[in-house]
Amino acid sequence: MDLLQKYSLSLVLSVAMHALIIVLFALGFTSPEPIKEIIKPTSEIIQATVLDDQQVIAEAKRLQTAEKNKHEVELDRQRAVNEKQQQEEARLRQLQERRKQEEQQAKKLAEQRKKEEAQAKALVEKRKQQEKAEKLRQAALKKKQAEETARLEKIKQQQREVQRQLELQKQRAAEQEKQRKLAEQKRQQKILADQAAAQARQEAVAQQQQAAAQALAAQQKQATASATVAIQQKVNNHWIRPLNTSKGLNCTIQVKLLSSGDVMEAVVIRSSGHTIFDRSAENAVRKASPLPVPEDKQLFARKFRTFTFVFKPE
Amino acid sequence: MTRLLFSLILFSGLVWSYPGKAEISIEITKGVEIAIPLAVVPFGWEQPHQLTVDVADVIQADLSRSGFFKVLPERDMLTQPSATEQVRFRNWQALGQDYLVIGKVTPAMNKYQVQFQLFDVYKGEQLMGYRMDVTQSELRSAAHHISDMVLEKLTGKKGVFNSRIAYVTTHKQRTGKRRYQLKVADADGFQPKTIAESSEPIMSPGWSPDGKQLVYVSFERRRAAIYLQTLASGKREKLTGYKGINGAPAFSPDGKKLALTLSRDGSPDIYVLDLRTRKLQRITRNYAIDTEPSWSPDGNHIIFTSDRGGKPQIYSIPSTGGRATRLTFSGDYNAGAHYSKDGSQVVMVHANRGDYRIALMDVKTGAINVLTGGRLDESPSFAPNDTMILFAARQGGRSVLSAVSVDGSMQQHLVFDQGEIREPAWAPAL
Repeated sequence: MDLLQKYSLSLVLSVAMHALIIVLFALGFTSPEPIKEIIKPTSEIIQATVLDDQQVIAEAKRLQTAEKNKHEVELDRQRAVNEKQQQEEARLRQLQERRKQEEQQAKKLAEQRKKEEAQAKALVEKRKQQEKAEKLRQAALKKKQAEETARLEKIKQQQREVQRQLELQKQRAAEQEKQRKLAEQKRQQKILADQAAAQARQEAVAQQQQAAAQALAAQQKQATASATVAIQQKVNNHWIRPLNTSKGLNCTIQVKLLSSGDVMEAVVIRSSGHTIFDRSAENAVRKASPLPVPEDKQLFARKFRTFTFVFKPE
Repeated sequence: MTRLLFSLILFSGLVWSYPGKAEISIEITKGVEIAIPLAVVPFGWEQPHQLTVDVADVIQADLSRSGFFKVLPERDMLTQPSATEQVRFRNWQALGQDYLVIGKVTPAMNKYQVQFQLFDVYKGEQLMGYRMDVTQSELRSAAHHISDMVLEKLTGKKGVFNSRIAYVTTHKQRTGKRRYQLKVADADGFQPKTIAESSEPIMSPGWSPDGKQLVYVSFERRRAAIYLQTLASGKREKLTGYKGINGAPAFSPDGKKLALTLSRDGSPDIYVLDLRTRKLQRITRNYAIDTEPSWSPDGNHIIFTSDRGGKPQIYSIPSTGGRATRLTFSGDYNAGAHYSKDGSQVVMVHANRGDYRIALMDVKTGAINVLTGGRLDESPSFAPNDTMILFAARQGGRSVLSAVSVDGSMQQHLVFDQGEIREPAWAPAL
């Protein structure tokens, strides 16, 4: 393309050249005829009026024709008068005709009016009748309507009655339901009350039992506490603490008792490491026999049949 | 829900009222510090002639005097068994006795066989039983020996009933002159023997650590002199006879030295005499009176009485000499101090507002515990087992021997000789 552009000018020139050559050739072939001068007529010819016989003939003819025309005009005039007459006659005929027609028309109109009046009268009559009929019809209708209304009213009333009955039934049913519900509620309440009462009774019994148990427990607790204190005091009174050797020593003695409180067995289960201290403790327990145990055998069995002393000088 | 709660309450109620089988444990913290009730039944003797020594009587007196026992009087005994099979423990329990001593004496050749048993009355079992063959003259000693064994078994303390004491007695003679006697007796005062006597004062007897010798001060030549006397042979030796005061001799724990008071260099001061070399070392050097030296158990210190502070107080000084430090600060008067055998306490005469009493000072804390309630208690001396303190007290206008337990709970007068008894010194246990 660049090539084309580069050589475009040369290309155009070349093409143009070729085209010129071709045209020249072509022209050369079409111009073999020699060029001739053509002389065209000018207006000088028209100005050079020439009177010739044709004009005289034409004049004569024209005069002839003028004569002929005169006659013909007369004729024409004649014919025109005729025609005018005829036309007048026609017009008269037409007038008559029209009058006749108008009369007929008027007659016709009158008849028409008469007819129309009659018609109107009939119409009025008819309307009157119609109105009357209408009135009657209206009345009948009214009546019918009233009847219908009454009927409807009756139906309505019936319906209302039915409705009322239904309502009543409903109310009654509702009332019954209410009553039933109330009864049920009462029944439930009674059941609940009965249950509550039963429960209260049970609770009361249980409370009594618990109170009794608590009282017993308290009593036993107190008995235990007082027995413990009494035993402690008795053993304390019987324990001859070894002189100058007790500091920091302690030993545990397990005792087995009879229900009378008599010490059956006193065993050192944890020694102080000092025979004399241990023996003093053991002796204290034996010497304190019988120990003041609770009189309650059950309590004794549970707590005082076997227990321990810890000898631990302050 | 309510029911569940309800049963829970009931259940917990049950649980509460039956709190398992948790064993009761009772704490005994007080007890009583009283003498242990004990019965010593008269020993069986099935011979027509009477024994010269009532063994049970000696034991009863020993144990009673110790302060540890409350001895049942013979008249209160329901039975007097002398063999195991005769013992009914219930009887002794009924009498409130914790322990029971029975025994018998039977002739064996030229000797006697002494047998005894110690029972735990409440446990109903024998704790101890021995048999020994002794001569008639040893019967009393055998009884003391039994007392020692019983005491040791029941209190853990070493018995000192077989030990001896030295003391000085004063008798007023018909001529009106006083007679001074240095005596050694059994710890119960029996079998006294006169070691020395003089019409001039005899003072400050002190035992050698082996118990074989005594030192004392005698004015027999109208001048104070310190003598050393061997008990077995009666041989004696004058140790010092310096001008002025020769006083308060005290054996060192190893027995090789003697601490004493001399005023030969002016005011009375403490000296240490080497018994082998006879060399004298002056320990204190003070214008005030320094006297009554006593050794610490380890022999490192000497405590003594000095009025260098204005009033007599106890001081301590290294036994080789040095700086003296004051030990006592309370009371108007503190004097005559002696260490206990374990060195934890010092016994002394403590005076406040004119009442002279026996007091113990805790060496660690310096706290003073007054043990006696007399007006003129003096010359305290520890028993060899540190359980008692022997001292001289005034009773009825005369001086008597008294003993007090170290806790002050037990005090009794030991009246076993005529005349006045002074300056008791308990011999070391052997």
